[in-house]
Amino acid sequence: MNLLEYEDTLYLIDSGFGNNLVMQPVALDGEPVTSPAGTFRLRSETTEKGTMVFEQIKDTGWELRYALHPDAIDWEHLDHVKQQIHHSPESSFNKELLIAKLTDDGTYSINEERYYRKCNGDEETLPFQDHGELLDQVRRHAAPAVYEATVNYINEQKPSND
Amino acid sequence: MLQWISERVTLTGTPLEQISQVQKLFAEQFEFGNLDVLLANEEPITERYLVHTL
Repeated sequence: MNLLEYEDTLYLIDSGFGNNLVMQPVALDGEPVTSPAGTFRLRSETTEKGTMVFEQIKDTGWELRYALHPDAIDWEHLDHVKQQIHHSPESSFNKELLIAKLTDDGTYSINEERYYRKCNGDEETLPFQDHGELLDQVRRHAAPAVYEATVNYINEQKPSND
Repeated sequence: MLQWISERVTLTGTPLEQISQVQKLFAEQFEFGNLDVLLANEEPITERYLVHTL
């Protein structure tokens, strides 16, 4: 993510996490912005994790997505974050498959149990009976390179799961 | 990367609008996924790595 100062306002430019793609700069302490993924805002608030909070509105109100310090970081720090994502027991991303994408009218996500689609307020869940059904949905919805990587991942799983 | 973007979208409007057009292009083109984690891609993050990943 990047921070941009433009005409005396600081903007967050977030490339997204999961399906939470805001797809436009978000002004610090400005108006909330809306994308097919939801409504988001960036506020000044000091927490143990930073001095700004990025929030998404949910049924129960504004919900914290992450906090940040507005500091530049170097490649070494980015690589440290990558190591945490790969190896930390607290990481959400090293446990099971997750593929997610924003579409023209909503979002979809695929994990090892199901395909889930949310579109204009409607929701659809297709549970997988086996790896073949999972791979079929990945092939239908994701890029060829993602499908090929998923095949490799499933093949690595086969000795223990099939 | 700039050439890759210019081949797919003509940026117009204010700088903020142009940034939004690039963000939408990336959202259309790329899934979020964790296959590099599950496949143990341990290549260090560098500028070259990010461009290659895209």
